[in-house]
Amino acid sequence: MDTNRLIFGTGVSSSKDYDGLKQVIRAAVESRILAFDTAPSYGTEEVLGRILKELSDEMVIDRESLFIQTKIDAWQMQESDGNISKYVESAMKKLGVDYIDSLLIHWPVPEYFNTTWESFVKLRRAGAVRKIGVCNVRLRHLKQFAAFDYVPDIIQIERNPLRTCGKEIDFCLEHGIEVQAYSPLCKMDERLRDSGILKKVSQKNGKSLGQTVLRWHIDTGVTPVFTSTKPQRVGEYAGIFDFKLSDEDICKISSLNIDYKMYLESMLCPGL
Amino acid sequence: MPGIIKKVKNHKKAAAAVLLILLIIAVLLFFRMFVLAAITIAAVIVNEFTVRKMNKQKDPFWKYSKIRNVDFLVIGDINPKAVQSLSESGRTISIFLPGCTLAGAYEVLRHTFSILKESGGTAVLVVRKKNVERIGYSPFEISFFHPVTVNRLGLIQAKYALKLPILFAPIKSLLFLSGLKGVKNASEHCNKEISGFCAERGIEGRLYIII
Repeated sequence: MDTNRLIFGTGVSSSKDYDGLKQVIRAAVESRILAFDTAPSYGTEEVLGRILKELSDEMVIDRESLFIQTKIDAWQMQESDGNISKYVESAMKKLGVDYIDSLLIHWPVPEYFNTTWESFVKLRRAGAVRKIGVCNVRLRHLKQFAAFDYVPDIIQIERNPLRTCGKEIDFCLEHGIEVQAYSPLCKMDERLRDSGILKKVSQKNGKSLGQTVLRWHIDTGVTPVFTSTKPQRVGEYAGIFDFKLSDEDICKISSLNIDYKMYLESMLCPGL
Repeated sequence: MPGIIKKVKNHKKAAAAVLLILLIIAVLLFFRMFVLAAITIAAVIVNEFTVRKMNKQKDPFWKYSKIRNVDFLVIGDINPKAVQSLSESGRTISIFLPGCTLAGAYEVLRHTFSILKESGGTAVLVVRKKNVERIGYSPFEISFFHPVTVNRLGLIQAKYALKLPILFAPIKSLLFLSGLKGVKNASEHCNKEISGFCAERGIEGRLYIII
């Protein structure tokens, strides 16, 4: 069971308070989901660190088994003109760790991208960060990065059956870049919820729609970053490692693509 | 009653602003300055409707909007005939920015282009001739700006301008509220920066200058 292929996100739709978040993180850890995603703008770094410390002590989980990912936000890139090491130190302090498994640029604001990336590379070299990457990028950005020899270890993009991002994924798989998908279920948009294709594939495998979509991510080489405020839902989503989708089913689900995006990148990252 | 108290507690600044306005009006009435009081009341009403309309203009760009992959994104001043006929041929989102500068319209484009179809979408910028070289941003452009842009451009009064457009751009506020869609003549011009920006993103960029 490779539950490291699922990341529990503490972003926009997750619980923010200690009690609510601890319940779902406990459910995740009990389901052997040990990878967690946060960001300064989510306001969960400190509470996530505290909860993971408590659960690690209680359930005897060593640091090496955990995967903790955080981000550098646009305002931090701007305020420090890309020299973001002080924010990474602050994140490590909040998370209660002496290294970060993965550090991502949340929004690659063009004006501050180069200097921030240079800081990222230095931090990786110094061992403060193990993997570095960028969120919200398109194929043209990846090609630009390659031209500058900026090779991210990870990218995180909005991806779901309504937005399959085929070109980006092909490029990343070819170049050994790990792809993570945020909003992997597209908040169960009615176009997914009412999809005959998804219903049929789910029924055939005896799984829920959510499980089918998460499995589709994994079977197409992508790690979904999901969230829920309900512990039982977390357990349900962890139960996707006992089946695989056929190539035909993968194609059918991918055919739902309409390039729909919830988040307009340009609004959150001008000039992206 | 507890509901009202809770609402006031949650919106302390707004409540303080309302009290201040009521106080000003009361003082004006006390000193029998009826005309000034009437102007103040009218300004407050116009401001409120302008802010609401300004915010509504951003609705398609929020995450809960289902409007995506449109064919045309028209940004700028009064919509000339040439642009109207162009955008009638597909799904269009228009952003009305009365009296905007080219710099302002371009900055709004940098914030909104993702709503266009990823290949084949067209961004149309419309600016008056006198505003091509000018630099400056009205509350209507700023309402689309990301905090990073506001900081980069040094728009220190932005948060006040967004709340009080009638004070910062009175004529533009009235134009914006009236929603005038003129039939002015405009000609298409080439702008390397806009074309380059759009081409890099797989969209077409067009600039119309109102004569």
